[in-house]
Amino acid sequence: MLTWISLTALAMVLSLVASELFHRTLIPRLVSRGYISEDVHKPGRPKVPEPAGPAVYLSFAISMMVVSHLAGSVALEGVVASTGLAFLIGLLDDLSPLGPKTKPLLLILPALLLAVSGEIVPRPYLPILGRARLYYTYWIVLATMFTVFSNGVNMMDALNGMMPSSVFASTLPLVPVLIALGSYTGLISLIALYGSLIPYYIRNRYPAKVFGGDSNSLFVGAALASVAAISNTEAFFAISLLPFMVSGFSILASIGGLLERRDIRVRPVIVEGGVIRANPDKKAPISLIAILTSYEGKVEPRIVKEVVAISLISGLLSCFTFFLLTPR
Amino acid sequence: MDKGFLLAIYSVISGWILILMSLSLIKVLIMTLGTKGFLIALIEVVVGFSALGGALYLWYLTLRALFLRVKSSPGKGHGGPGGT
Repeated sequence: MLTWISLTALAMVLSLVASELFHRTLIPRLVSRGYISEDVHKPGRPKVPEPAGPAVYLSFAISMMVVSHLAGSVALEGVVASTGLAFLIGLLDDLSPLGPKTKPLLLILPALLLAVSGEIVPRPYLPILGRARLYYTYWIVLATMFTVFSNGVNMMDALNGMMPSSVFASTLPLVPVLIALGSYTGLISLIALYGSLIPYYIRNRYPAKVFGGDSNSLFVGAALASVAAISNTEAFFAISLLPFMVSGFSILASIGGLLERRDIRVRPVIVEGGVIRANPDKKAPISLIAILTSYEGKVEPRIVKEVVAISLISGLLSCFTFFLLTPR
Repeated sequence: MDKGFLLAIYSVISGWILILMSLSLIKVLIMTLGTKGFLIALIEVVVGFSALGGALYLWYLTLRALFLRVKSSPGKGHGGPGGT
């Protein structure tokens, strides 16, 4: 127990320090090489360096590899490999955009990589039902989970600081769940993810000094799916990430299929003088930001605060579901 | 707390209730049909996933109806410069 606590603390410190150093090194290089994007939600559309994904993923990978070596855990190595593949798919998308159908299909590969590590037990804990035995269908669920989580996190990366802060808020209530299940590999992976995201959050919060890009969001989504899979808490992560699914599912349903965010013709929201509001066009797709601004226009920091509040509610619902509605 | 924020909270809580209802249906199926045999297990999984899919679509339709209603009766911030 004490060993796992010290390994978790080590994972946090290593990923935090490495992420800070990588951000300091990467951002000036992104600027000098012209890797710049426009912040479209602000007046004057300021230029912001992108992508910071390599700084976030590499710090996570270094920390996880050190800890997996010390703990002798194959599961942690599987997480590093599968999230690494998701990061590479995202980086490819940052450099040369992938098609709207290619990306979700490619995101099945990280799930396969995690499955071949041999550390996945197809026996997820389910609310109401308890521990299930899904020997045949589990692998379809695993592949779907990677695609859905990665795209959900990608959709959530729309405003300054929104993705990392909502990831913290929705998954922090799951830390007691991982401890209660004794899933220390899941706990270490989640804490290492927090450590690598904190320096990014400090720079990405309003007004953003850096954007993560798809390399960051797809990696974070795959990391959350990996943590859920190795700890058999898939259903609880799905509940805690419900605000991420709201955006993903309703955009998918309202446009009638898979499309890239940049290819959606009628935008869900419109921006006027820094105020964001739902597009009055009835054909505009529904997104979480459109829902929040459907009644009145709001400024970016207020929307992010509300998304964090909603994420915290879903995280607490998930924690409550585990401790009170799940037979163990 | 405005109507948009309340609608977002509704979307999350209703999604959570739908997941629990789908799992409750699977539990009823398991208790009724048992878990012996591949075919029965397959039927349970197919019915369970279909129920979840159907419930999600129903959830989307109600959310869309509420969203359009709130959007068509906007509060402050909708009549500003360039507003429609």
